[in-house]
Amino acid sequence: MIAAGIDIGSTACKAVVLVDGKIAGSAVGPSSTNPGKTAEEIFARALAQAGLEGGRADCVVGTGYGRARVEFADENISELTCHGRGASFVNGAVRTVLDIGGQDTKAIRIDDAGFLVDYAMNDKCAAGTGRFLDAMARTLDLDHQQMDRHSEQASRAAQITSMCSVFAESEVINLINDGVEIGQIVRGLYDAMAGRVAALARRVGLEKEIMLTGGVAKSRGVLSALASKIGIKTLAPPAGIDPQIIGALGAAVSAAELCSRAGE
Amino acid sequence: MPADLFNAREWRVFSDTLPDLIRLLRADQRGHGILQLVSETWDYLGEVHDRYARGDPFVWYNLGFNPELVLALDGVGNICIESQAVMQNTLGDPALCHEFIDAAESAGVPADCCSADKAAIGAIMRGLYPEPACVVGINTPCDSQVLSTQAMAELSGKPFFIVDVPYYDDERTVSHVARQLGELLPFLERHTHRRLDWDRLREVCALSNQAIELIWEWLDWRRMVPLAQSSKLVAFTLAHQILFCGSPRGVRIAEALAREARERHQRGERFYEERLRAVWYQDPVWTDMQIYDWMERELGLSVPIDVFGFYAHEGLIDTSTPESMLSGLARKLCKCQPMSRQFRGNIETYIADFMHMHQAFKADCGIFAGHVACKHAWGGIGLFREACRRADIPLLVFEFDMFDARVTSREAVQTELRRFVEEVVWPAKQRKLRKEMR
Repeated sequence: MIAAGIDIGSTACKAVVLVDGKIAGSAVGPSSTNPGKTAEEIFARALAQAGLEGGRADCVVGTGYGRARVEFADENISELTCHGRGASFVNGAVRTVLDIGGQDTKAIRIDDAGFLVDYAMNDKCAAGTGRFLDAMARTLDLDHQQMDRHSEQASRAAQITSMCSVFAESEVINLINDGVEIGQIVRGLYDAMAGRVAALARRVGLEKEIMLTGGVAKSRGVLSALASKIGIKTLAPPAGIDPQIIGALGAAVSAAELCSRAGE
Repeated sequence: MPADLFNAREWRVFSDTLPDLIRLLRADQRGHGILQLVSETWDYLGEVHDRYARGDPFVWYNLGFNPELVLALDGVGNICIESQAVMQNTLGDPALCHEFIDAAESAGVPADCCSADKAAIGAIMRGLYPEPACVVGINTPCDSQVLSTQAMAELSGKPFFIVDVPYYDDERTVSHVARQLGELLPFLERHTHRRLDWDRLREVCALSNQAIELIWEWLDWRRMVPLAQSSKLVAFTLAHQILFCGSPRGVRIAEALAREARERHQRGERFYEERLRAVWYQDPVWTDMQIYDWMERELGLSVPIDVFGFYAHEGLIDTSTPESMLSGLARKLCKCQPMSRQFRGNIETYIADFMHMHQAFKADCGIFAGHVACKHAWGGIGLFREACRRADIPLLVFEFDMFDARVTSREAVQTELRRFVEEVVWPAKQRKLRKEMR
């Protein structure tokens, strides 16, 4: 059985192809002004990676903000549910999922089957989202890997007091002008972001294991800052699984269930 | 105050719309509750008009106070200073309430204060209430009321009596408040030039008790599954208490609400296809009561009870002696009045009442509709969330403003509700039902 999930987010489009319940292919690409076309392209790439070039899936589920634009999807499911299902698929012990996406941050509590129990979202402010880090990276003229490396070399974190992305940018510029080391500034930014995410996470009640998903989970610095803020080790998805595809993976898991139900 | 008070557009909006609305409601032979509520409100407004024309004295008070003592003074009109805000949002024009809020802010009331207070202050500034003989303030249902009571006293310039309700929940508190009510009586008599007749107060308290017993019956019918009556009606218990309890009007409204619920159940009616039930725990969406219809129709979600609708079984007013009546009225103010009961002192009663409602009204979830300025509710949100988590009750928490739709739009509230129902509550209920069927 071939099941696929497509996650159209605000900054990236992700696709996962499951063949008989195993991840066979995945792809990630930037979102565009034509989400339907982007979904098709990214899906085609994921199929190709699964060795199914030009093929099709038995069932497709769309998720993410642009899910309604995945016209070839059999069903649309929200990203809250999909991130929970995806995280549970890669690690059945996970009970709390923190998804830091481009546009919002979600804290999701799931049960032992990966079903959504509670959630809290920050979808009204850029602070604590991937957009915040993107903006800061631009201000610092660094890419995210470089930011990580700088933060690892820093002996301490600079104090970034602002919780607002716009004001944080001014604060970063002031710190640069004051001659503060870049690494310390980056660590300060990670701490500020982690503080914001930790506060959101506490709203749903932190329960182990905790997994960070979304593009920001690729940052070792954010993972470490978050673990330190919430006092519990925060996991990234296992090696070989891109944290950015967890939502699409959850959609693919749901698609596989859809196929099974249809076959019953 | 404008000489032509009732020509103000804020009053005209009622005379322009309510008679037609009442005619429309009469067309529904089964909707006694809403019809009586609207008709009696219209009748009350007419009474205010007539009293004003006759030159009767008025007493203003804020929303934590019950009107029995005022109603017991023959020929005295009762005005709750928040009534314009509630009535504009539910029966008039919500945009006028926005104007009250903006006026209060322009006059220096901080924007982050409760919109109930801001709207009350704005309505007073607009001169929308007949000039009072005196004003009575009470520091319930929440501390924020201190703002509007102070403004009420300053703006009216009239003699001011404040009832100070302690944070505690014991008999000493009831006695303390009863003593203050005893001191309030000569104050009211002095300024309204009316003598209190204890037999008249006994009659008023008896009417109040009668209304409460009918409210209890009504709420008992609302426990039944499925809910046979509109969700949105329940929020009006508080409004009923503040304006009408102790009058024949209050009895007629409560009787109609109970009768409607009883008859609908006896006929086996389904108001709509109920899938889920929620305890709405916090402020009603006064700005858009149609949202309850939307929830019922689109989500299959009913609200049999909310914190404004719940009237606790803490006893009736003992009418045997003057002291017992004052004590009963004090108990009502502290321990029964919706909101005042839950928002005073510690958070335990707030949480315990929710748990009781959740069980008694057979709810599937809780909805914390967080009025942005409500420090009482938001102050305890962590403990409330924790209690729900322990009890395995799904809880939605979102922010909005009960009197100001500009803070959170209808669409945003709908998104929150839909996401919660479709992502959490309904799937969980389906899984539970599937498990039970196996």
